[in-house]
Amino acid sequence: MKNLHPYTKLVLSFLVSGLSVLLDQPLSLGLLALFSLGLFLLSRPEGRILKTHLFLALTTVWGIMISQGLFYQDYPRTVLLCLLPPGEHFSGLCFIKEGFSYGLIQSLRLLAALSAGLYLVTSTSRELFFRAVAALPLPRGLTLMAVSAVRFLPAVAENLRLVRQALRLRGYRPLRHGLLHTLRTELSVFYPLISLAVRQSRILADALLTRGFDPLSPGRKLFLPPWPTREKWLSAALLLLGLAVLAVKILFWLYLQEVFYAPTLRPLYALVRNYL
Amino acid sequence: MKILAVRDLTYRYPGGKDPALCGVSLTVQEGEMVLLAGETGCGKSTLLSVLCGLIPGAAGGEFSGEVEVLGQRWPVSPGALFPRVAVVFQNPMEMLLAETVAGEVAFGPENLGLSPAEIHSRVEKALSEVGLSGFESRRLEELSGGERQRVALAAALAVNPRLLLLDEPLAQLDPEASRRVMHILRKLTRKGMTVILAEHRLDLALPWVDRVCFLEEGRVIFEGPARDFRPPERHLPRPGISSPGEVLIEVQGLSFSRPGGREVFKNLHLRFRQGERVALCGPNGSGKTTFLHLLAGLLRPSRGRIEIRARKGKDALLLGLLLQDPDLMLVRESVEAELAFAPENLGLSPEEIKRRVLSVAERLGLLSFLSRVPFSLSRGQRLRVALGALLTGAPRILLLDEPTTAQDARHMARLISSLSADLLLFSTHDEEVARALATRVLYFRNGTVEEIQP
Repeated sequence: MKNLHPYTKLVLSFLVSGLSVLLDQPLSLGLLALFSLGLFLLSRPEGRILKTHLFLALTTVWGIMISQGLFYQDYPRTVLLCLLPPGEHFSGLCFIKEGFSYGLIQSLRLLAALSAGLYLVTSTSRELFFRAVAALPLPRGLTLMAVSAVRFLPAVAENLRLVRQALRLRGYRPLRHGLLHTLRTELSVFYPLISLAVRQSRILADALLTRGFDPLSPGRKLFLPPWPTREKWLSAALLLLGLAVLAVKILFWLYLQEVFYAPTLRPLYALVRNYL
Repeated sequence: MKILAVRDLTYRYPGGKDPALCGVSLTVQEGEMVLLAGETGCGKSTLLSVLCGLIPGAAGGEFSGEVEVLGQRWPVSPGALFPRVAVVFQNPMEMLLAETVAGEVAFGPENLGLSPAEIHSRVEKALSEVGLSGFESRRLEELSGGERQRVALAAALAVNPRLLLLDEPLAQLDPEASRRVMHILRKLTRKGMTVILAEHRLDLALPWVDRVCFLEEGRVIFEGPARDFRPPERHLPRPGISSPGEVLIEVQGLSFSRPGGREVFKNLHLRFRQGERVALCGPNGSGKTTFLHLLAGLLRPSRGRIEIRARKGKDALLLGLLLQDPDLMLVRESVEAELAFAPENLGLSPEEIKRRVLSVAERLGLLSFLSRVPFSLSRGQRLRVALGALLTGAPRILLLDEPTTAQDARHMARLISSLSADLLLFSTHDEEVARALATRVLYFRNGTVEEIQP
């Protein structure tokens, strides 16, 4: 999984993200989340990335489930446990069974997309990823901007660290002079960062202007390894699968809205209702 | 054959008070190597920006006079001059666009729409010309300052320009790397390329160039053959030397390396005493900034320890650090608020804060800017604000990271010589400034530190 071509990885991530929005049944979403998790694990991520994933996954799943369990507004509602019992003017603060399952569905969507995104980012070298993005059939102005933004992120993080440490060296300690002073100072760290970003953008723009860069020209595939035919076919099949799911979901929606109904499509409607 | 002619060029930046260039005239013949020299802020970089078409096009401002390069008359866009004119800007890392050496060098040829085979061949040839064959797959961030400079040069050469413009190509290089770059440029001019470089390190550039154009406050003071040029003498102030007192910082067995990176220093043992002014010199990437950051506690040593023996006073900071990019220290909405920040954090009375702000502002020539937004000031003024923001905290130990970069060295030297801290450490590329102002000079190179006599 780690050695797949970046385009194949992009297709896989795109498919998982698309399906996580299209699918509604807990079983299919669960399978999608498992598939995505499998992709991520098979790419053999480092221990620290695995920990990050685990942390994000657990906080996402439990955070959404608990919040939906407590604040679910639809009906029917089955109360499991009340933290604050309902009163005359207060509907109570209770855990709702249907809220939990709704939260589970939403968190499975996020889990699937999260695993796929992490798989793409952590299993591809930055250089290869940039080359792949730069070679996409999009205007180079867009791809170069995206790549530059990602490239400068570590520098922005380093500058943020320097700004904060420079404040500390000037005697600043959070909360020592009140909340307002702290909030003002914490927000003000963005002044130098924004100023620096503007300056660097100007330098970059000058470099591009003098190096014959045309933002409207298409991307070039130079230095990008060839996309293996087998992976091309696999990606085409995956994209077709995604399109097929989209098509049947549209047909089902048209049927629900009483816009279009064909008796011959009844098995398809049943499939969507029960599994998708 | 005349390749470039500038006649009576005057240019003022948008919102600028004085013109950056004033009545400049210059003619350059094909195959010449011309040095644009002068103190920082004299107009060298502005003139290069004119010659590559960035001024007046992208920058705006007031422009008068005539400029003609390779038959094109101004105003002209940089795109119209590409690829006949190529530029290497001041800080190569800020203008490099790719991740790897090959990707960077290929960027220009790619924009010419050449075939992959032709691009590969040009990348190979350009890298070989700058002595970086075999570096194709190396990541740019892993390279030293000198290697990055040569990659930037290769990227410019890969489009086969007729005129090559370089802004301070030697600014961050040690003498050996500088000689290598100048040798490459000389070879290129022998092949017929015209080279114009703006450089303030005259001792390294002068022996290689054909002609010199010396600028002062935007005006040409000298224009002629290099052999006729006598660089103006710099009169740097020499502060009085006091005998060293107690040890304020002790460094014992200090080693430092970044995660996954090479060791920057190994087993350093140093002592810094009260009353000393210590200059840190050495090539780019030798660890001067890292050393200052370690002393300030911004980084932790990999091994060994740094003991700050000085004690913090009640109304004073123990230590102040001027970052290499002083803009990163400007966080308040006015110069006055910026100067008041440290004394406020020390919990001083409003009267004392006011007294310190006014006193420092007067010393640094900032009194008329107190109500201005720091980012609306010039670069030199912003540096003085950042320095002032430290001085109002009255630090016992003052660490300055490259305070003379992109500044008028004479003014900055005067400023440094007037600073009053118990211990002052400053890093600089300008060895003349270091020898004039320091009581000790430490030379950083290849993970070691050598003490040299000022």
